[in-house]
Amino acid sequence: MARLVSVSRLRPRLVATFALVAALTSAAVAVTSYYITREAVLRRAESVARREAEALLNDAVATLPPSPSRAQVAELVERLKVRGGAEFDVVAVNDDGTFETTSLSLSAESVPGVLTEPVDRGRVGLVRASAGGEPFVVVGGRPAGVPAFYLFFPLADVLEDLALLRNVLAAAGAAAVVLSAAVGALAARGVLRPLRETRNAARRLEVGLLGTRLPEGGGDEFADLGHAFNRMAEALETSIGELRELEASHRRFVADVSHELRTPLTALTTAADVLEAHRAGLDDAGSRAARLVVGESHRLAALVEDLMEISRLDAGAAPMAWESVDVVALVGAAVATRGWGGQVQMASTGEGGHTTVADPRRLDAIIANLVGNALEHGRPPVRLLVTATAEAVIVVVNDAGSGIAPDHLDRVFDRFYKADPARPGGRGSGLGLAIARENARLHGGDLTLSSPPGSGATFTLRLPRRVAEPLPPRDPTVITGRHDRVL
Amino acid sequence: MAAILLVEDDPSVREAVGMALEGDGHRVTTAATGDEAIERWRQHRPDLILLDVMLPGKDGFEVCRAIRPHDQVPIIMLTARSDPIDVVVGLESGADDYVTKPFETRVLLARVKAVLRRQERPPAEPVLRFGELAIDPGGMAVTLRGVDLRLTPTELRLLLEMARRPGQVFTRALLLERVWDYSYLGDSRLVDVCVQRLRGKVEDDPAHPALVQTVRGVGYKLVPPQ
Repeated sequence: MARLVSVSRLRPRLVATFALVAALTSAAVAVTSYYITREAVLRRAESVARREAEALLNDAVATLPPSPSRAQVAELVERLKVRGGAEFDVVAVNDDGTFETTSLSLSAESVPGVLTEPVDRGRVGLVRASAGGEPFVVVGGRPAGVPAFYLFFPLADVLEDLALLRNVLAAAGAAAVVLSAAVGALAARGVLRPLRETRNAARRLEVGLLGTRLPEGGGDEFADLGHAFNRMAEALETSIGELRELEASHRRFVADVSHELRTPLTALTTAADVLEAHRAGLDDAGSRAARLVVGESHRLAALVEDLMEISRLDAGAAPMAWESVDVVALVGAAVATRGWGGQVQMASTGEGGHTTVADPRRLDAIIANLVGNALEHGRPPVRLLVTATAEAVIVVVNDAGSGIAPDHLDRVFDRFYKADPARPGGRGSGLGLAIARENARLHGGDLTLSSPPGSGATFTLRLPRRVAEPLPPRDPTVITGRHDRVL
Repeated sequence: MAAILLVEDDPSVREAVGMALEGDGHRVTTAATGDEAIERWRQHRPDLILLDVMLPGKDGFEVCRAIRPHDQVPIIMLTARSDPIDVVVGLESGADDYVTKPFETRVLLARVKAVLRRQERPPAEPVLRFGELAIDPGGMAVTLRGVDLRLTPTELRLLLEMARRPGQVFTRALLLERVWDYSYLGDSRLVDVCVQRLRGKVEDDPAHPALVQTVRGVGYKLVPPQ
């Protein structure tokens, strides 16, 4: 699941990155262009104001007598108001602090302090300031011998335009952010689709669909990835194919050998049985030899039978004949049929009965193997307990022998494994427990061994409780048609 | 004791099995190929045929299908494989039972004995009638509208077993025990295939059986016509 999470996190990461880049870029562009525009607009307003002011001041000097009276100043201001109209207002400040103004909202108080000093020293000063809550460019000048004149050029319109520009820029920026987030999402999908395809292809490989390949079209990095992936899949398919072929041929060899042995074995065991019937007529050596021939030919037949069975299990060609089975009854019959009734103590506990759907022959084979082993290798009494839960029916076979050393516990299920090499081999094929475990697994259950110190070996067969035949499992090797059926 | 035709291509198996059968008191004729088997069957009309599946020329299935229409002789297949398809094909081509190689001699002899026992005439019982079907246990004959259906002894025993208790459900295990003498873990496919063959003979429409009905998950029962 870790891969899934990291792939799905890539999308928000890409979207966020795109949005962030767009936000930074558009903010930088907007702020820069706003300030450049603002400076340009204001500078133009200022230069217009300065030019206008200089013209007016020259005019004022030309029309006013030296040391004019307040009335003359008031008249000039009145004239200037007519000339200025809505463009500007004028405040004229006399030496005694009285003033004339063209606007009720402006007075001597409205003149920015920074202007009065340069203006009084005869220079033309210009400053941006606010008066009465309104923004203005204020230009002041004092030609010799006349009062100081201050012209107030309102900036409200200009600033309003600038505010509009700011809003437009902000909206455009926001739109750019949203747009690039969308582009990011699209790009993410473009990037993630091949990633997801690669992931899915890897998973199909994982479950054994070795024919899985990625599209290699296009010339981008994903085509490279697809190409590399496909080379890997091909190599994997080739080597697994070779391994499978090798393994299948080994299995076929075992199956073929076992199969070929069956006909001579049939002749051998049948002839041996005829010999057995005539043993009474043989002398002592002949009789002993006949006994060996009979015993060993049957042992050989059992070994070949087990080899055939394990070959079928390996090849997945072991059919299950599901039936409703009362496990207690079957275990009892398996023991009684083989004449072991006197040597085995049987018990059953558990609620809800011991019936499940299973293959009775395979179950019988497991029980026969476990009880047969316990009787041969363990010590009596052999105890057989069938228990049941809601999920499973469990058969426990336990003997009173010395048990099995811990380092042998797992290996007793290996083929031809002998727990004690020094001890003469049992009569079994050495495949019995391997077959029993495979049979348990065919039921969806398991066969395990424990051997606590001081007590004998305990085999536990767990069969999941079923009410119906299970659906055949989905075998990925079947889908690709690479299922080797040996028998 | 019975006259047995043993069909087996391997000379050693043929000789050993022949000895074992003779040791049990049977008279044995042998054949090594499918064609020879049919020839010997014509000449000797044995009581029982032991038939290997893998034969040169005609295989065991073909021999079985060639003989079956003319003779209800019991046939036991000897199969070298316990391949499930082999067994079913053998039973469908008319075999009564099968034994898997390598077999234990006592198992083979027991199967032979069980099949021969089915041929013995049961003590005379009244004729059982189900509509137009008449079963005469003593005469070992089953007729439908007066025509002899030529059931094999196994088919007849199977029908008779169910006909004696109409309506009762018989499990496969019970039928295996009563008809085939398998007291423990017989192959239930024997029952299923034999029921199919029986239906093919006694039912008007074997695909929709009216007389021998399946009880899903349990077994079979014989339902008398209304």
